[in-house]
Amino acid sequence: MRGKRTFVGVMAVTLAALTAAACGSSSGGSSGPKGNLEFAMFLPFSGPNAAYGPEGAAGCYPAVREIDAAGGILGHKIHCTPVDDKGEPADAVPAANRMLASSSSLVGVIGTDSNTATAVVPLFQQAHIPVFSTTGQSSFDHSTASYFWRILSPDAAQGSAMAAAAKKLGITRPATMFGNDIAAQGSAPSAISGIKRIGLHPVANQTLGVGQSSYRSEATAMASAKPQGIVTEADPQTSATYFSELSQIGQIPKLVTDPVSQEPNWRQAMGGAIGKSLLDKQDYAVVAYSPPTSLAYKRFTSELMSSAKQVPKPSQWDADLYSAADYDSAIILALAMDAAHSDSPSVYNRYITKVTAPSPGATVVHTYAAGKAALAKGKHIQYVGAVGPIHFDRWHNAGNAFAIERYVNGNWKASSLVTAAEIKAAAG
Amino acid sequence: MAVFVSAVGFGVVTAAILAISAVGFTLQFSVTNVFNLAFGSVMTLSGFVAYWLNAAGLNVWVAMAAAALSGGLISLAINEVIYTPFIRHGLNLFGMVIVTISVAVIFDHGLQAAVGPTFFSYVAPAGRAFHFADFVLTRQELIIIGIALVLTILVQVGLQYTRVGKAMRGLAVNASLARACGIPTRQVIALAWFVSGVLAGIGGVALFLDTSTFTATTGSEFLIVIIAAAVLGGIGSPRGAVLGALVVGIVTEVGAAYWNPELKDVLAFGVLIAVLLVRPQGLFSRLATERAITR
Amino acid sequence: MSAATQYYIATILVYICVNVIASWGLDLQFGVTGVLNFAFIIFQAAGAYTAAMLSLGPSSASGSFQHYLIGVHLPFPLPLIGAMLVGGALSALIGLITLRRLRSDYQAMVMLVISVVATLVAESVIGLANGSAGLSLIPNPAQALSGFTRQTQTWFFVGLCVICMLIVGAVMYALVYSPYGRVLRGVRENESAVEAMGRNATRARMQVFVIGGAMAALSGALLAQFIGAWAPSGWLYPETFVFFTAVIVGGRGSVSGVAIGAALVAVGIQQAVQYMPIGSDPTLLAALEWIITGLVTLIFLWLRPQGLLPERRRRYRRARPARLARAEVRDPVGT
Repeated sequence: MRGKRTFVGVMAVTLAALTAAACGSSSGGSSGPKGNLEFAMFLPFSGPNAAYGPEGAAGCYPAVREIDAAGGILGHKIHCTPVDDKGEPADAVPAANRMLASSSSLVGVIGTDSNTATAVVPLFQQAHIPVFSTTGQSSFDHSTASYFWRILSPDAAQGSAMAAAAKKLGITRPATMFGNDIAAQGSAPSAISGIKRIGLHPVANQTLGVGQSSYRSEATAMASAKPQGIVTEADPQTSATYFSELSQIGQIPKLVTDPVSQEPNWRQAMGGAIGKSLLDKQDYAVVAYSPPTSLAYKRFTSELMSSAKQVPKPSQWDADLYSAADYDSAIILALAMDAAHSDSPSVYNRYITKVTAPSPGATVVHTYAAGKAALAKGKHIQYVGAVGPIHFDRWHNAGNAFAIERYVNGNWKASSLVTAAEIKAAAG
Repeated sequence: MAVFVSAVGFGVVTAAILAISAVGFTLQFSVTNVFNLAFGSVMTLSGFVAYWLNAAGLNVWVAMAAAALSGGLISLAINEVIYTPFIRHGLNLFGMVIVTISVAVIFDHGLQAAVGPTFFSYVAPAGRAFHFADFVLTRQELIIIGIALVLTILVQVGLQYTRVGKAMRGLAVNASLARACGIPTRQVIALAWFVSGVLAGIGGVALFLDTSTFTATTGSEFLIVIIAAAVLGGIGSPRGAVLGALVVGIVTEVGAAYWNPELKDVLAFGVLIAVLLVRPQGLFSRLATERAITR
Repeated sequence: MSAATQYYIATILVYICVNVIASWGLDLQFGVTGVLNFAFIIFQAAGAYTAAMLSLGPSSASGSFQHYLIGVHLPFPLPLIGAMLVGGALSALIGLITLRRLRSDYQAMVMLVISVVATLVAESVIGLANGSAGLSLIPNPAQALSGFTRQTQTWFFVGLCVICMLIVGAVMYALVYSPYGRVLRGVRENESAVEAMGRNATRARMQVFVIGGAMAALSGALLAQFIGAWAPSGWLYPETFVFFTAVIVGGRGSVSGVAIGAALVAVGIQQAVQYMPIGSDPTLLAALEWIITGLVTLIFLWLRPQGLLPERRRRYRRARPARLARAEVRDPVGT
């Protein structure tokens, strides 16, 4: 039939064209000038979570700025490439495959959030490219992928820490409010079960559908339950709508939050909803503890401020834990390459633990330049980053110490620490 | 009982915001027979026009009026520049739906690229809280309810008693006969698009005031709720749109109070489907069969 | 050719097959029969979830971090067949609600509402399909073939997808270019005439709804098994319109045309935009992809509403002896 022949013919031409495009060298935002190495920021830059992309960029660009200023890696300069994962697995897989096929100088991936991690981490594993992920999903708690690395605590630990913090703050009658998106649902189960396990009496447990126009009935139910504090995580939109209505119907009690509350979008939306001074007064953020006087943190913020060209309005990210984690990820990758004397990922992947694990006689370093210098002298190093010390377990997960932080006079200050024992009591 | 009363009260607030947009949607559909899925985009764009004016210092209610005007103009422009040529080209009802979807896609993503993924809020204090029996309404919410009442009454009165309103109703029933009677079809259709755009603009600002923070994509799911309210009431009937908005608003809030808050919209949609199973033309509509596009 | 490039090409081929199968399903419903199925994407999602649950095994295995309705570990073609059955059953259910008594523009609006309802239910009822996080670690049937390298397994899966596409294509040709296809086109063009001839238009719509739903489910099953994960973020209601664009660009009612439309729109535009030299601003690129999809639809509706390869219309001539051809007055040929 004529139709069938045309069909086959056109399909053949289309396939040939696509193959030629894939095989040939490509432009489209991948490799820079020859000899440069590349970190990819594989994050959503579009769609509902489009704020995660710039957040990751706020970690990668300051790091490469510092690395290049210290002479680069093994004589190569390095740069960051944004790759949009479109926020969902079906589009992320071809994007990841395309990136792997077209970048010859890719040496590491920073990013992969919860929406796409389970689909794309196997691809990076297969391609032997190390990926430092900020996903909190429990499915990675016992990951067997050797190229997967996670330097922030998983959501389950975060939830337990929030429960422990509620007890520490003297909230005997807490309530919980979590959105039903992936991010919030990661910490919700352990927070809710942790609260019960350590003997608190929850007065309300609410799960909100995200992005709705009104939560007045839910806010009324919360107000009439009269909690002493609300353990909460939800995206900026949902949080702002809910809490502005709660502030009209009742009172805003203490809010036990997590790193999301240190992200600029959340802070801005909630500040507009309930007023900045009330927010600062009531917000107790339970986050990974790193002393603000830490040298790595200072280095991160100073490089961040100097990166205004690639990171618009850089000061908004200086308290963002995920940006700091992405910064540390890039520095660790660079130090591992230096320690291995190789930029081939299959060689230097093993050295990631070598440059972060504590060992007797290891020189503790807080910046790339110091680490590079120490390695050049043949010493072992331990990089202590902007998120604190990084100890990878055998599943390549690094846990954090947790602290309760308050926003005081324009800065985040740790008011108390949540000990590992307290978290264990909540986790069971 | 207190819970029920407050849920109904909150339902009225949601219904007010819905009603403004649903009346605009259904009015335009009844006159032109184009199922306009770009309506949400007009709402969002007008909401941002109000934001830019509000951020520059204008009072939010004045900005809302400006948003209304811009909504009307945008809506009119879309019709003149895109829809009417396609209709003249011979596209039928189903083709026009695809055209409106394409317009919506282009506008929404263009806006998102332009303003970025950040969150915006109006500078609009909620105002005093008024306590009614068991629930609390702020001054802002009361103003919105008032605006919704005034607008829907204006539309109803306009359709009933003014010449151009009667012309619209005539077009809605039988376009060729209307033209044969000397009704200037083109101008009346243009006016219908303008008025529906004005209502979209006000509805968009009201929605963004309600959610207290918004992004370029906030309006997109709300469009489905608006359509549900309009269809429930019977497409083409502004009174039906108001009733549909009330039903949807109250059902969602009561559902949230007594059942699962995550599924409150599902409950409202379930009511819509149940009503349509029993009365396929919606509550108020007398139009049992669909029509061709009004030229 | 490097391994990474091979995987990329394999990915493109799988996505082409999957999108062609899905677009054919919509073509049967909308292109040929005129059913405005604005809930199309949920049938693909139903197939994906079903195939996942039928191949994952019970949720308590692998750490019980995901919760879903049922979990069995069935061998190869059963998850795909199960997915198609569920897709067809779901279509029947939704068709019973929407296709019978409503006028067609209401049908469209109600289907849109149903699409949103499905997303809300999937996100809120965690025990159904793990809520917003979705299902992950979905096994790929090709991985059961031991003794082959990962690369070869991937090519086997590509082969499976191509075979499925060819089978569905054969079914489409059989349906569309047959007396049954004429009935369907009649339902689209002139329902009363078809009813007058004694065929039941509503029953025909239900039939294509179910068959198209099964095709969509098959495409979802293949896609989910290839990606290994499936979540509500991947099947929001605007995704349906990508398939509508594919059908319109390819040619409503034509089989080969829609296949080309699917390859061009669903896969081609997305990949081609990546190569455009507008710098590497990903936000702009992502927005551009959607904007181009919208513009392409408008341009095609304006310039070539019948699509790239328009529907073939049979022309019927009365048989007459060749030697009288000149002298005969030619009848106007009917379509």
